[in-house]
Amino acid sequence: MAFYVLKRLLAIAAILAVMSVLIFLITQILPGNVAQVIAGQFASPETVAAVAHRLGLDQPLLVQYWRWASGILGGDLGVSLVMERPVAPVLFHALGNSALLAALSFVFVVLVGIGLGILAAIRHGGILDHCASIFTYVGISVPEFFWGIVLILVFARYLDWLPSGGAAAWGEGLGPWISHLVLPAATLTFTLIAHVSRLTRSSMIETLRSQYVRNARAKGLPERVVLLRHALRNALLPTITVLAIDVGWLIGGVVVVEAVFAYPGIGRLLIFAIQHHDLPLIQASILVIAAIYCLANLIADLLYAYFNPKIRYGRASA
Amino acid sequence: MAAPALDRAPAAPRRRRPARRLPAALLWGGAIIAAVVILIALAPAIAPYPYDEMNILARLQPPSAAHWFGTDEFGRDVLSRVLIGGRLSLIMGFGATALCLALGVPLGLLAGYRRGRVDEAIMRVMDVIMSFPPILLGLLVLAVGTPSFWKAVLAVGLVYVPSMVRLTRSVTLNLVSEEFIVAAHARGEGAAYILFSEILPNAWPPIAVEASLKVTFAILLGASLSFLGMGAQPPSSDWGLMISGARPLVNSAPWVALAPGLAMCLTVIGINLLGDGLREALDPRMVRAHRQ
Repeated sequence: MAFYVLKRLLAIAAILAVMSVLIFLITQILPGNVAQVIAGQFASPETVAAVAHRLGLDQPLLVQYWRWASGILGGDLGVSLVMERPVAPVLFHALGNSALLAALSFVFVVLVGIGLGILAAIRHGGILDHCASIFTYVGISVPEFFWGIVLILVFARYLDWLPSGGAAAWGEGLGPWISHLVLPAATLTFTLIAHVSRLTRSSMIETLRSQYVRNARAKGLPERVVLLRHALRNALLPTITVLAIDVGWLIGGVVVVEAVFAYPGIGRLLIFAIQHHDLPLIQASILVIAAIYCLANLIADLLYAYFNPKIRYGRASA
Repeated sequence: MAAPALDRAPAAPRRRRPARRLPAALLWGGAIIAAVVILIALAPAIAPYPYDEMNILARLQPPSAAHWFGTDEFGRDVLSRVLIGGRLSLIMGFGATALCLALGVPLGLLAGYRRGRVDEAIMRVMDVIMSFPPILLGLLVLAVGTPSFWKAVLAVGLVYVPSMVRLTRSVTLNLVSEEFIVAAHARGEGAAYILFSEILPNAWPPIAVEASLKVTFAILLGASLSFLGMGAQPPSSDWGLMISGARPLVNSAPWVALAPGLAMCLTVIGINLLGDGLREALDPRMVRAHRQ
């Protein structure tokens, strides 16, 4: 297992290195002239050259990349062109907000999604199963931002229970702080709950038909034990891989949902950066989000290996 | 001078005919999509108003007989805009999927057929692309320069190439060792002939099902990119951009956001039903395999 973890960590380091090159090349080469953008459309050629020189844009590409990459390894993410201050503190503050939102949503998704899936599987063909099917079908057919708007309409406009956007500082008290998180988190979970419960349902139904579940029932074990100890553990295996995919979805969803609710997270920061052609900020946010995604995938793979001895022993000895 | 023995070499097996009774999902999905496509194709003719005609006197009017879905903040008819905007959303869905097929299928065939170093190289590149969350990859491609609709189609298509390559590759790997491929080798057929005339015709059912899924993903991802301002640019509009523009109006004129949202919902559900039906019709066994 330790060997497997090490191997995966090395692979991720390699992928991140390649990603950093890719992000750097795409953002640095293609825009044509960053200095022009920064200096303004009507700046004289001298001003543009001066800006290019100040930013080191007149250096060879390799030198520029080396500066950027070595800075990142040392914890320096560069200086934002628009805000004119170091990217790192801004980025990590926004990241904290996003992480909070994502974590809350993820817990929701795991609890409600898996729970709903199991219930639908047990009462296979019942009313609850049909309702869950319709809910999941609609849930995966609609983009997050539309759900966000529907929720705003219902809970902020008609019922007036919750704020329609923004975030409250911790100092404003627990009430406002949580109330600002509810709608974005609910929006994020909607699609994912649909996804996770649909998968849990089908894998649970299959597991419940299997030989060993029949054996467990034949032994006279109580239904609760059969479900939780025998069936669930195996039925959850495919769900775990999908949860990893869903972390990617969640990260994408965070970007969109933050835009809908004007929530000050990393997604909104990235969109701000793109709109203002703030290269260092774009590069740093994309790299950080991608790195988090890679780590999330690693964790999911490890969990999968942990729950599935076939893989744990198979790959570890390879 | 072909030897008679070679003439009797096993030919590519014919795919079994699909079950005679078509699945209900296929019919429903087909009906919904046919209706949506026809409405959108005829949009310029049947839209009650020009989609960009402003009418300041009729701003933010609720749905009425004159404006079935109401009007937006410039007094433009929402129904006409939904119909016209649907064109870009559908082009996004099918265009990005076509691009993804055009790049993904040949690469997957090549990787599965050649194996070895070619396979390794293709798959490692795909690994890197897959290591980005989809929307982030889209944003990365669009972050530079001025955003445009066609760039967004390109970006969305690229995002889904790796999964298409993986699928095609795994199907190809299974087919390569089949007798009819061995026979084709023995006949001395070229690689291009074997890939496109022997393997592809037998590999397409799972590819078709995957492609139907990709169409909905592409519509949704494209709408998200437009919502973020990276896709369609005003005054042209797709459903994502319409919803984005309607976000500040949610309190005063919710219909401006709801109409395109519901249209998108209906379209995506239709394509999803069609895909499920297709899966059932093409291969009942795949229903189970796909869910895992």
